[in-house]
Amino acid sequence: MLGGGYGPAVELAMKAIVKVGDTVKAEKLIPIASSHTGNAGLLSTWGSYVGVLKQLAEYGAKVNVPTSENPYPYDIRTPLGPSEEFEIPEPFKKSGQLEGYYRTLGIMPTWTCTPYQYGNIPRFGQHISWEESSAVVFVNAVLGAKTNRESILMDVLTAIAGRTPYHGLHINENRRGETLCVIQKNKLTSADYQAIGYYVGRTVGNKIPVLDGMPRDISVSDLKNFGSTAAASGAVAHFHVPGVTPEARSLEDAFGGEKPTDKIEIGLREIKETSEEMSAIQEGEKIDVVAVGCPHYYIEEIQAIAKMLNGKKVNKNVQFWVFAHDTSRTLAQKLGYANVIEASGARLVTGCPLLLSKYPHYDKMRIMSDSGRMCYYVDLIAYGSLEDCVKSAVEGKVVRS
Amino acid sequence: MANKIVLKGTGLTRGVAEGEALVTKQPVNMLATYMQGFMLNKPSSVIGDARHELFGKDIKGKILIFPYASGSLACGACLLEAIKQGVAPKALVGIEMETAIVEGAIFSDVFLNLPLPIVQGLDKNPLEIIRTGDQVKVDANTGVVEVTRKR
Repeated sequence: MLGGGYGPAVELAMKAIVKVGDTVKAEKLIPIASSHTGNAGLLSTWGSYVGVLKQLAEYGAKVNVPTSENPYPYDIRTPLGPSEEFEIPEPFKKSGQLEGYYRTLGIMPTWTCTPYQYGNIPRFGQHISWEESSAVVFVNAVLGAKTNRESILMDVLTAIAGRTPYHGLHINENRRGETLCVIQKNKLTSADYQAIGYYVGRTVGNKIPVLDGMPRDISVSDLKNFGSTAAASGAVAHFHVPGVTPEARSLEDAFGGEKPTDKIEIGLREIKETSEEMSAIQEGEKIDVVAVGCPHYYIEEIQAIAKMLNGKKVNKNVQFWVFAHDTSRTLAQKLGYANVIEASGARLVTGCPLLLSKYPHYDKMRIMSDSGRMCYYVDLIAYGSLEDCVKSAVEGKVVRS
Repeated sequence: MANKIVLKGTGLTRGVAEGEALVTKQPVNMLATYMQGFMLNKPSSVIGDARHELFGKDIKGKILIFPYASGSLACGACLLEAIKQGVAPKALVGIEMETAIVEGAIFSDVFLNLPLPIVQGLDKNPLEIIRTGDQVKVDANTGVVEVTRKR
């Protein structure tokens, strides 16, 4: 492959992959079953990245495995955008060139950070090569697929070569739990899981936490939201919940027969203090935007918000954005949830609220969100449960129940 | 009379660079440093995080001595773009880099033929030994870092 027998694109991709493999002291490269490529929206104005993609496309490169793609802040599938006065931020008017190269390469226009909902679903034990830290932690922990936190560009190169260096989380011994996290609160709410995620990420850094005390009936969306927050406040790439996640049938199993290297306890106080710390905007203060769906909402999360918004009117000074996987959005339209959401003045859209909040105009707005991940990356933000987000959207200011 | 110190470690990329040291014990977030400048087409290499001890300092052309790179998996692609636009540090010396940032320098070498030396795992802690303003030569081919301090 390095010798050019598979064409110049594979040769070029392999050249970089082999050098990376040497750096991480990988003994070999292994075949991968899928890839997911990162922050498309961010990259459309980066000449070096676009230049490499152009070169690969001109060499006739094709991805060798199913490869999905992260969202743009603005998504042509919901051209109305998140608000009536929405204007496409200037950088994204130029994204067509990059998208063209992605199509030439055969990358799927999934435009979601949760391709594991639909479009690109890895199975247990599969070696894959994914970017997007929130997706990496989900597929490792919840599905039991094996991926490192692949960087931008490495995702595309490994997809073209169909190979990645064998190191880190591809090796079973490196997937064992390290830090024991004992949760000492019963009846955890969806909002609690994100605060716990924020606390765990910040405390364990890049170690693998084992969450003892999370209930067996935890929902898939709560696992998604917990992991994505821990992957933002820390570099968490994998976790275990005994009796819930597939590599941890029991607490002992989660540590692979070894002793925990550390132990932390998370009780009412930690959850309360972390929730407060996640907010820069306080109770009673004015907000401009309520943004939920980071990572993209599942259909049951859309259903929950539709129930809460039913019969309510969003304050005229507030934009309410609900971001979802396109498939969940389509289901919500068929089930009538989309109508309920839109009748309230909120908008059900595809795209990325996190990237959007970084762009001129939106970067000055005061946001409220139920997403711990958003709270980590956005400065002017208030954290709240979904219930509080809906109440605040109606009042036009931060309301806490 | 100059005072010379030689540190030995592992070169993660290739190339040799010499320049003025900028030292921080805090991790550096490349994306946060460069993102807005790239987006507005006005490249800037000044650390904009008000909580960072290097807040307001320009990392362009410096030998950046830091523990590791924090933040997004875009940090390597970000370093690649910074190298292309001529606003990157000249070399990186770290404690334990995340692979993502090293990949940025590898991409720059492979795709742009612009190697950026990175050395880590030195026999003495560079964050203790090297001071901002020291003249530093980083040789990623041999893993040797030479520090020259003017008295």
